[in-house]
Amino acid sequence: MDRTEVHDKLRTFVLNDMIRMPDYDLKDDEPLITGGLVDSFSLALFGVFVEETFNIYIPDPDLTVENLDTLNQMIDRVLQDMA
Amino acid sequence: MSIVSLAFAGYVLLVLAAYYALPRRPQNWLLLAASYGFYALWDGWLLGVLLALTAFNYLLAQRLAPAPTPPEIKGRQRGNRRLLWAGIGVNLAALGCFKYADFFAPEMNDLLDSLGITSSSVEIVLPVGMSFYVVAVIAYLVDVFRGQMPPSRDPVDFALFMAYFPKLVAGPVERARTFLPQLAAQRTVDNAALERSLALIAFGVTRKLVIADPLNSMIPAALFDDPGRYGALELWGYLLAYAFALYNDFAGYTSVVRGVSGLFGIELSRNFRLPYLARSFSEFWNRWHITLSHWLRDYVFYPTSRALLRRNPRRDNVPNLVLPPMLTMLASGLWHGPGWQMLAWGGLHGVYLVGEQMLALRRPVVPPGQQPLWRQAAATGVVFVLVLLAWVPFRCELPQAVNYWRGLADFSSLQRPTFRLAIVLIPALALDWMQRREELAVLGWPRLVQATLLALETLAIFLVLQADTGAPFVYGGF
Amino acid sequence: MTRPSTLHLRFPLGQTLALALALVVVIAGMAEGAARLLLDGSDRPTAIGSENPTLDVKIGMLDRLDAEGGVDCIFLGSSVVLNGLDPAAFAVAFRTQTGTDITCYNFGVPALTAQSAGLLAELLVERYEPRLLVYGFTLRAVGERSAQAAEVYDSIADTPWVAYQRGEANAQGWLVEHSTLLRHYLAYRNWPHDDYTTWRAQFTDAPPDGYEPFLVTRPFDPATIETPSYFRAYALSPAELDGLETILALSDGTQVLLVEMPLPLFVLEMFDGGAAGYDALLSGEIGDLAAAYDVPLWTTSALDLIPAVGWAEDAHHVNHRGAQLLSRWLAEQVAQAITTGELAL
Repeated sequence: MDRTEVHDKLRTFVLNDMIRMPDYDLKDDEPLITGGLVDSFSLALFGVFVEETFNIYIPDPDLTVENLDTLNQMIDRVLQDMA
Repeated sequence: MSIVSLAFAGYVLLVLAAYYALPRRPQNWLLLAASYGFYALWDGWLLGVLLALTAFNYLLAQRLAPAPTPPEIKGRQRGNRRLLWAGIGVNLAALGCFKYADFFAPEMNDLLDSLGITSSSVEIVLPVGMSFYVVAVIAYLVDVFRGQMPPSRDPVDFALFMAYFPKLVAGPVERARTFLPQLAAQRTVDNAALERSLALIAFGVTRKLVIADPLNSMIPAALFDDPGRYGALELWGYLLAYAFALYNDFAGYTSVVRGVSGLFGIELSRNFRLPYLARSFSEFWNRWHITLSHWLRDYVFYPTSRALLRRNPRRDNVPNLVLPPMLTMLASGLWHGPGWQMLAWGGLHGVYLVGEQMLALRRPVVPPGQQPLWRQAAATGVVFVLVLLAWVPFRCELPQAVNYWRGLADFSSLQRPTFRLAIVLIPALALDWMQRREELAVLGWPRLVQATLLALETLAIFLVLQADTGAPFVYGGF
Repeated sequence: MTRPSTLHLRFPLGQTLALALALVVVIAGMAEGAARLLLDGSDRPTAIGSENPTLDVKIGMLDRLDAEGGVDCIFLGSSVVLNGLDPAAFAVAFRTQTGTDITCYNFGVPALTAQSAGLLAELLVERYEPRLLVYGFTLRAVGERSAQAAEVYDSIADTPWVAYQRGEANAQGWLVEHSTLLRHYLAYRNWPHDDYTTWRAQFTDAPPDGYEPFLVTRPFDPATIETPSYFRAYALSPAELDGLETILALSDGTQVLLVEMPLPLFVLEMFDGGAAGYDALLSGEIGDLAAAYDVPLWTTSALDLIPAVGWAEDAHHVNHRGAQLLSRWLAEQVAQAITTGELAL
């Protein structure tokens, strides 16, 4: 799976399930957690989504603002764990 | 030994003098000896409990790490599950045995009486700091079990992780993953680190001595035992005072210990980030006692939430919505103390979080920062008032808490709280304002401004310390 | 190879701290200057920061009296003095007898025993130079000390200002002595306490002459009066006698007078050996000590000066009526003693 594919899947998931605004003009480097769009409830959802979609497990203590604040960080993390 | 005392300052200076003269390894031995010495000052046998749990967890972790076989899901490794639960069980049992003994004391005494043992012979005291080091070490065990970190191979460093004296009494709850590497590395204290440390200590001492202590002593002694004696305005005013006293006391304490630790070149985590400015409850828990909140999130909320979501990935599924926050906040309540009052406090916060999620599901997310200012202010106000209401059972027994809540709505008496609260609340808000963007933004301000603030702080501390500290002097007839 | 060190400090260092310290001095100095301009000579209460509230209030009041023209005599003792000697009644009777005015101050401190009184007497005589120091006491003041009396002693001796006055160098005592601002602030210092209003009232409502009448006028009921605890197995305390001697030694430059404060005769009868036993102790070791310093010791109980209506309900203190009688009697005795030369004022 290349970066574009991961990007598209994650972006769709973030818009539809995490922030529930499919039409939102989300920038790849827009802060999601510090910006108040995403909270711990959504991050738990994200954790389960990547398990099922990419077959990778992001440990609970890594579901943090330091690791996953932007779409870019999420993509990086997924790609890194898939490698 | 109080953290904000000349005795503690003297102790730190003595340890520092030796610390700077030593290379890294002996520095850790020194810190460990200083930590045990510090702990032994309370009670020698408390140190015994700490040593026993340190040895137990050190040895247990060596056998917890997952086998190198590839997991079903990449990254989701697991070690010896039985051993993990046994380890968590022993730590929680030790904590329960000491911390919750009082709660079960009547039943236990009955039992002992029936066995012919006098209950006074088994009086149990709470080992200081145990709640903090027990949760920290549980996180370590879980992280090792999940293969997120190797077990510590250095018994001195591991013992220091558990006992490090600046954080021993009341946290912050550090993670072994970030703390142990600091112990393994050469520490550096340069001008910037020194300035940061001293600024943290200055902020902390001010919060504790100038804000928290005066606020606490202005609250009428009978307020929480007999709230029926007070009018609504007094109950609201003193509840506000209590909320700010609690916050400044704990935030002040954490700031001091972080500053002290910084002098050793060891960074401790921030615990408070202007919590009463939170615009939502999720935000509040990212601002209040952050290291414990994040511990609860990582080791209670996420595991529960993810387990439920794996069975049903719908976010609006009721168990997914209700169980994780309720369990997390009830666990938080229990951690704070045994008894129904703490469960009520935690339960209320659980309800707040569930309510907030249910409201959020009904409308699209709008980041607080993008909302109009009045809405942000209104949200802050609502969250603050609900947090205030929850502090009531945090502070008093449930029957009194119910009376307190009733009294808050009973405006038949318009007696006001003392205006002297403002003498402290205004500087308290000023401190928060100074730290609103960057915790230590003040270090970037002109030197004259910094020095003026420091001078005013010194004078303020001098003045508040003039107040009598002892119990009211007893007059006697002769 | 050099060992890596932890400290990597560049100098100069601590300029902000040094500037802050300088500013502390400047700000405090300016505030002190303003306080002296505005508050010196005012009749606002001041305090010395003692944990003993009576001492805390009374030094400020005496300072004010001193500034207004000085104090001629000080009545020192415990609550039996505080409730028993009225400087106003004393002054009226004294003027009637002698035609001269006298300004007295009642320095009664609850639960003050001789050791504590000795400590205060030295301080009061040196600071206010009264012509007459009256030490009023009962046997309790020189008997084995109760825990409460020990607490009072500590509360006085541990006051930094008191220690400073007694020659012990300490910064707090020095500041209190030399700073108008701090003396005034100390009378507000417990503003963070929930009972601040009551505490502050001690300063604002303090009687200018120190006398605090026992206002409850209900007569005592002899049937309910128990033997005072210090009567049981009474023994003189060497430490308290040392305190008494400290007071007596002041007679070198000031007229000192010892007055046994009255107890009702029926109470004295409860003493081991009865009233005679009480008297014997007074005239024995204590009388000898007073005589050695050539200090008059006047006893009052045996004179039965106070009628039943003059006693407070506890029968150990006189009430306001009794205080008037006692103060008048004392003034007359003092006036007479001046005439006979027993007292030199």
